[in-house]
Amino acid sequence: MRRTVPLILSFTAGILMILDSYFKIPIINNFATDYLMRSISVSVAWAAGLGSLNLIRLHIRHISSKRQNYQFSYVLIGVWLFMLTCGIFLQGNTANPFYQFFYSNIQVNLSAAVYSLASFYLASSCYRAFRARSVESTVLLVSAAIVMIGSVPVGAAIWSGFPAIQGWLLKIVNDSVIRGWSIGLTLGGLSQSVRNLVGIERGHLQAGE
Amino acid sequence: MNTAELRVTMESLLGSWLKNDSNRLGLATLLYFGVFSTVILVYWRKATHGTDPLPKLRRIAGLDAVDEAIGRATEMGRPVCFNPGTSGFSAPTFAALAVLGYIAGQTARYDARLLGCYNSPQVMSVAQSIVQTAYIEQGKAESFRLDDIRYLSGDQFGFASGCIGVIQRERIAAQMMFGNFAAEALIIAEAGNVAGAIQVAGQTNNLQTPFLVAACDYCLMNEELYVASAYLSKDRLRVGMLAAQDICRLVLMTIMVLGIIFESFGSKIVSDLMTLY
Amino acid sequence: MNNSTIWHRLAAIDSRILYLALLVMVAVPLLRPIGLPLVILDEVRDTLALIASFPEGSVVWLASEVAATNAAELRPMITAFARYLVMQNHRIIIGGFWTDGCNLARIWLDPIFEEMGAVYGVNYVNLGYRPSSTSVLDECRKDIINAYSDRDIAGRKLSEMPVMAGVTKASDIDYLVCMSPGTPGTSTYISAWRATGEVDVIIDCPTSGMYTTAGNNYQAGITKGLVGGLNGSAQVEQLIGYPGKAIRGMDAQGTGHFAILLYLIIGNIGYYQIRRMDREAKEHAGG
Repeated sequence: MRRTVPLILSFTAGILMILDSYFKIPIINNFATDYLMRSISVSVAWAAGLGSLNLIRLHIRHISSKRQNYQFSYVLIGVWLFMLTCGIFLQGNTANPFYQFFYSNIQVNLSAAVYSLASFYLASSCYRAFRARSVESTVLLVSAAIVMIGSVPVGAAIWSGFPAIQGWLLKIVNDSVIRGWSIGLTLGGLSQSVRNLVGIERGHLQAGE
Repeated sequence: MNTAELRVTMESLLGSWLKNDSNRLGLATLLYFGVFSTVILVYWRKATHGTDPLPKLRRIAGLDAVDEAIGRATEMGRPVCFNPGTSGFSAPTFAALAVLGYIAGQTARYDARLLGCYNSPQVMSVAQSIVQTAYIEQGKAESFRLDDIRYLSGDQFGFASGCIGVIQRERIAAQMMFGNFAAEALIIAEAGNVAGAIQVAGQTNNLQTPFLVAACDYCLMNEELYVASAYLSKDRLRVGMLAAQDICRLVLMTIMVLGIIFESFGSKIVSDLMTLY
Repeated sequence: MNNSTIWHRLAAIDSRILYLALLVMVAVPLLRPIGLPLVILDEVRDTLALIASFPEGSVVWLASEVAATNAAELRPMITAFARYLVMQNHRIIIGGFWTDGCNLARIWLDPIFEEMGAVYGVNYVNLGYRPSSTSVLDECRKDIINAYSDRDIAGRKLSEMPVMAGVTKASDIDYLVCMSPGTPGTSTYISAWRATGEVDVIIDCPTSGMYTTAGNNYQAGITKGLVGGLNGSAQVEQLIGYPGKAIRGMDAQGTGHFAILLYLIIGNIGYYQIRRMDREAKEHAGG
């Protein structure tokens, strides 16, 4: 029962969505739009609340058992409560200038700062791990270098051929490989989806299958 | 009869419903889907009722390394961290959760601690259930810790920051990154590197593969993630599905090669047949 | 064996020194731009020409799939396109399914629109964020007003706005310009509207990370325009005559690329030198 009902539900919903995507059958199209699609929105909204509660519960436990660095849990809960209050109760909700101030000046900048770590990590990865150990890795290194130089004005200033070679590598070599890669991935994804749809793959329902 | 005449004949036979472009596209897609599914079901039947030996799977180093990584973590007394990426419920996430079941069983057997970092609350709920079931099946229900399976943030880089924190505070010995990752992949992988963890990555976003190849010890390429559950479990049914998938790929490759040859000689018969709808 | 050669020391160098060197190489051109000329790609020129070929009053859906994390690349892009669309006198509908997308569009673009003389509700509208792109885009195929509950980002009625006159469903949109840092992105609109024939012209504006896969769609004719990354933004700024952050950032991007190239070269030279020294040491020990 615990496994059968979800399987039946997912199979039914999957078939209805496939039919809705490709056919103009009014009764199915209306049911899919009015009920199925909106149920996704509802479940996403509920899941956001569930995730927040899980997070808060974890950090309350950190505080109550005074685990290492539990002071940061106070900060997390405090900020969460603050932004939630601002977003729900202030006039204009998330359009309120107070909310916007904290969003624009803290959230936006923090996200950008963490993303910028990627460039530094990339530099250290290149230095430490990118080695020309074999013919393939040497070809990879050389083509990566040419693409990097060719994509910036400095490269064109050094030699006008860099952008041309970079364009050829991206449009001819890279695009054809990506195309083959995408076809393979799509087939793999299609197979995985068919397995989920007909209930062959049940790992997400219960372990040990 | 050429393809234009064939189309007119089809329309007159099947009436006005097929005059709609969307319905024709749908029927063509359903036909391809039906052929694909038939092959899968044929192999399903062979796998469940037949006694022929299973097709041999080629060795995938990354998946062989999963047991090695868990063993290393057990010896060092440090946790294993599982990370299914940031794409919510999608085909790669389902494949990742199948691998999680295997990993949870192994960590339960060897008494290693399993941490989980989740970006989606729905995926986290399912993962909690999978891990708990695995521990119960291994007779280690009391070792399961709900707080080890944690939702960090729905925001991409809030999640990445949380992962870095977990990796560094818990001093993980092994990290398994299976699922679909975006720009946070390199950040998380490099944090694992700094912590000295052995890392196995399997993801389907081809844009992130170069970064993970550079930062991780083992990286599954392309759709090797989708075969992970079959490879690790050696389940007869799942291996049969892989064989079906490969047959379908061979058929597609044949059509592509034929199309290239015909087009090169100026004939559009293959492309016209493919776009008959 | 002597483990204290320059190559051994370089191999064991603290990562923070690498980070500091990269920071300096990127920061200096930002503060003192070099001003190297840009190479304008054909695809960028063709994209702007395609937009210009639509008559005045055409309806464009500007998909603001942006977030703070990709602001460095996509803010100059969406800003430049917003200016260009106003210059062409097209009606702009801003929509988006990234949580911050429409909010950031409001913060970034409202001053631009004001500067260019565009009026909210007449020349442009911001629909605001809605969760679940699949369901909303599907509903837009039948009724955009209903899909957004007849409300824009600030709760004003969409059906009363002149910019939405004659725009009731997705097929009333003439073309789409999509900022594409990931999913939801151009692929979402391709499956929702292009594959079903609602909108034929999609202009893809990916980040540089997504540019490699975006080229596939452009080559196959699925998307009709392609402007990628900071480089693409800089080219658009130059072509429309409004130089901005993208052009200023290109020099820094160039020196950043050079820094990484330098690390690759030094790292590999060091690796081979250490390998050679180890081999020689083994031969001496064996011999």
